[in-house]
Amino acid sequence: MTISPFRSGLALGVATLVVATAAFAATTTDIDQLRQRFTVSKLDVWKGDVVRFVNHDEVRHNVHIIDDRDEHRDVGFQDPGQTLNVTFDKFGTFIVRCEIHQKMKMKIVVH
Amino acid sequence: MPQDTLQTPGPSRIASAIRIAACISVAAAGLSHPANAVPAFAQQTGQPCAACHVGAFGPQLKPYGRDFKLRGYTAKDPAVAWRPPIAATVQTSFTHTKADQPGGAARWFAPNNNVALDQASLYYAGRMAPNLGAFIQVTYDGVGRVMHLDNADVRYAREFQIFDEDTDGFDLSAVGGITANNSPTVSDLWNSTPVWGFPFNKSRLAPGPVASALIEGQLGQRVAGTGGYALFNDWVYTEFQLYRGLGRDVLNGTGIVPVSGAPRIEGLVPYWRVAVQHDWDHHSFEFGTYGMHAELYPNGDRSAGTTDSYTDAALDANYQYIVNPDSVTSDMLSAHATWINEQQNLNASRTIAASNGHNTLNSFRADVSYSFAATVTPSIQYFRTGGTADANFYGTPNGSPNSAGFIGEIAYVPFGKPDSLIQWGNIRFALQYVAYTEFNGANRGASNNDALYLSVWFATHF
Repeated sequence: MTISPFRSGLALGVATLVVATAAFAATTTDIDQLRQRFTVSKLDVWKGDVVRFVNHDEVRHNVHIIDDRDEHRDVGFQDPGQTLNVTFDKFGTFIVRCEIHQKMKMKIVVH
Repeated sequence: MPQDTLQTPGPSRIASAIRIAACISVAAAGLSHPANAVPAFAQQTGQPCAACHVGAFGPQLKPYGRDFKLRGYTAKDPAVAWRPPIAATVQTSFTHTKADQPGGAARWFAPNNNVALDQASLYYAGRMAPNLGAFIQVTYDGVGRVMHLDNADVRYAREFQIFDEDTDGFDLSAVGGITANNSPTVSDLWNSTPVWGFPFNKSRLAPGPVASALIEGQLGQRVAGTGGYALFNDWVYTEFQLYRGLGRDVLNGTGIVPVSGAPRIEGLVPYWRVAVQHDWDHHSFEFGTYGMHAELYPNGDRSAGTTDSYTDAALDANYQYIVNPDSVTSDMLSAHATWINEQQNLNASRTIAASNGHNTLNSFRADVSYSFAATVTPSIQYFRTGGTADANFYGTPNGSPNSAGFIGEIAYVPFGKPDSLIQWGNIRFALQYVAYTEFNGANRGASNNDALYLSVWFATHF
């Protein structure tokens, strides 16, 4: 069986659209704060994605972000049970920390 | 709590004074410990006492408390407005000894059944700048009735990324910095070493053994030193410091007494610390070594033209089991042990007081506690000090420095938890019993030195 150039082009276009949609639609990823640690040490996201930090501990946590240029930004704090959404709308590598529990540290790479 | 007297045994001409000191002493200096429940830390971090401390009261540290100290007391809650990190503690107590102490348990005190204001302390405890913090304690000693500078530890700390996994293929990082302090082991992160070891408070109106190793607090507040420390990859901890003895004027100015007749420190005192440690899930462990070397003129007497030389080398271990790591008020098992070997080359004391030329002293301590819901914490410790007999050096009846026994304690801390009604302060009630099986070389009558100690320890911030 032969596939016409038209059908091949159509299939390629649909595939590209699917991939592009997946790439550009903002998604939300949960990061748990548990036992005074982030549950993952490194996360890859797409530009525009949202990372939701979920405090499962009995104590307050804070989200503090340091970018490639060593610029610091305090995003806020969460009391026990609270969540905090952070949108990563710039490319680069970001270090996320808790200023209260300085051992809590993870890396987020935005593609 | 600093010692009132430097307990390094001296030549025979002051042996009687040592004997008296031993009788009235509240415990050897190495057995005394500082108050260290510091609500200023809780205020700065927004965390309850139980986040840092076993039993919701200092000074016994949990993993987060060790990390807080490692990083120079600088962690803070950005949502909490900065205030000067000032805190205060007050300790009061009742002491009953099995036998009366003729002449009084101490100056101003009765032979037995004494109520005392043990001490009242004021602290600067917390962050001074982004990487700089301090723990500085000033204490009114209610037994010796003197105000003095107590433990002090000023730190600069930061993280170092030495190799990065993304660029170098493997990760090597460190948290470390510089400490300036006034007592060997005050900078340590674990509660197996002398300054912060169990018992965390004890009676100063009960008899105490005459002999203890130099590193067991005898140089506390009489030296000043600085050095570096680092924890690599959260596994290997190293620390090295150099201390120097403080001059007479400084000791007088900071209230550290006595000055006259106390040993004088010659030259520099190196202190080292190496440990392997890690925390994971329910467990936390540490195994390490520490020690120091010091040259002393006994009782400040330079007439021999030489010094006594002390080398202390110690092993220590810690283990903690957190039943529910998700909860800061979880039940928790804690165990600590240390063994200290001291080699004494007594060139000066031999000339001045006909002591032995060389003595060995060993000190061993092991304790275990179980904290129920960070509220009720029973503990027990076995301790033993033993070594070469030297009547002219130790001044004990048979010359033996040997003492051994047990300490049992139960502590109750109603506050310091996330849901506590009171967040501005905390209080600790403790009932402690010290039982001797051997005391200053004698088994017979050792139990006459047994002591019951009921203490109330209050802490608040401003």
